[in-house]
Amino acid sequence: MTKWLPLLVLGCCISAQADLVPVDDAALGEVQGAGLGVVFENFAFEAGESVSAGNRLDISGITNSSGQPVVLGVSQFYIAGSGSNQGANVIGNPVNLGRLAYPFNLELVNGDVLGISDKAIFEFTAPSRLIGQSSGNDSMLVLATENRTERRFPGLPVATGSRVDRVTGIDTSVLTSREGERPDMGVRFDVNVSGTTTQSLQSHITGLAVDGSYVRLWGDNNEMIGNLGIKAVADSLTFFACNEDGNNCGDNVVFTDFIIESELGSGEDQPVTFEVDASGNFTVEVGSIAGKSNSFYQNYYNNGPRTDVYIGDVTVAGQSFGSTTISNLQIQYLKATSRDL
Amino acid sequence: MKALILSCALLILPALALEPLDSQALAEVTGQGGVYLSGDLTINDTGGPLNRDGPSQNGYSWQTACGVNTTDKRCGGRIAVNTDQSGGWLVLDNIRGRFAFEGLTLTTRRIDSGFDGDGANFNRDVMEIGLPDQLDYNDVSFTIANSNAPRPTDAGFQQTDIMTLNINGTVNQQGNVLLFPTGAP
Repeated sequence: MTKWLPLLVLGCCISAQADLVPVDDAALGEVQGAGLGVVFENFAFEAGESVSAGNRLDISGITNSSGQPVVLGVSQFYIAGSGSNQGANVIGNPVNLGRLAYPFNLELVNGDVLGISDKAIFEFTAPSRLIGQSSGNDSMLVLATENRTERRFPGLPVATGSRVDRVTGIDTSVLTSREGERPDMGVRFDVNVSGTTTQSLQSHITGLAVDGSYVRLWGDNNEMIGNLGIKAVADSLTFFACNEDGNNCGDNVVFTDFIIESELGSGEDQPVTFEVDASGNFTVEVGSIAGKSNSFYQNYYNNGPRTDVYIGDVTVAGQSFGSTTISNLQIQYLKATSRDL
Repeated sequence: MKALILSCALLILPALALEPLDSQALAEVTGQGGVYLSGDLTINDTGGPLNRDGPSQNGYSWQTACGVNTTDKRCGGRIAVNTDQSGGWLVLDNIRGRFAFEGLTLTTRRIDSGFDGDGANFNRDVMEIGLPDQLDYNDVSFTIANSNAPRPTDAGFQQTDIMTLNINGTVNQQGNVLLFPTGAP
């Protein structure tokens, strides 16, 4: 007992003097917890269907240019397995979202791993992507490039560089979501102006996958900042309008093989902020990259965040308009602020 | 006669001493797991504490009647989030309505097969949330807004309502949400 007595006394002293000490960013940056994987098994969802039975999902607060109130009444919003037939076959046609091996994931990540030093990053990720067999990276777009020798800007020296020439294929080996794990999704809006339903707009997506998308959030200088990655692929996007009772629908606008791969923000060097300013207006900002070093720019232009959009075919009323590509779009500064009207 | 012997045996059994189960035997025990939940939640249906007991400074008269269809800001719940210490607030305002579900289940489940071949490799326990087939909404509404202050009673309060969502009726769904730990802590 005498052996333990000093230890006991010491223990009492320690607990009496211990205080909670705030953890600084550097210490918090070392935190790495286990993530929480989320998988939706046999999932189907349908809201707003059968308006006649009193079901409503209304979005209000919008006015048209004449100041009349506009209500968007969602007469159907659905998520279902493939073959949903534009929302006709939802309940009983389920889909798995996320895989046990590649789930949706919520995690607190050590920022050092992501190039954001000494920060703990809250990360929400969709199922991850793999290195594509033909694209050679985690992009679904197989690109043909060409070397061009030209002036990059009028009056500047001629330089040689590699340019994207065209998209030659779509590499689905990048996706971890398999064919049966890509849901159909759609929404039907009834547009109601001053109490009168004027038209119905519909959009339907088939074979959607959001693999590789992410949201990363952390705090710095007393504000919340983040990086965003939006990566989506859909077999088709269909839009059309009908009259107020949902009949006499107009011609379809169809995007086939739609791919968007967009990253916003680059670690701490280019943070993205979503905030409300002191006057109550909403502001989205993608930080400026002005005044950085040459080596930063070299790396930013080669490996920095960029946006690629590809649509395999655009058809309007069955008439093909061919493919559309936007490649290597880099947002170097963006600030958008709302104004109260 | 057989039944008589059996009932005698049952009478004797309680007199026997309880034997502790060893770890190995205990590991073989499988219990009936899971919880079945139904719920009915009403938020600020006829107003909340603010419209009854709220302060009346800054020109706000908080006391007001909060009927089912009123859109008065004092009646619903309010969540205000500040993402920049020197900036304004992202607001979910006027949260009201009634929300009911029947048949939400909570259970744990061992997955060691299925899932198109993923199950055998996974071979672990998951937390399974069985989604209710039907969610019933009754005048559920909330407003997404931006504000320069957390509370409508703060001095110089300004708020821009962006849009209001009203949900009424039934949402149908099916499926399970599976939750499990990932990564290496």
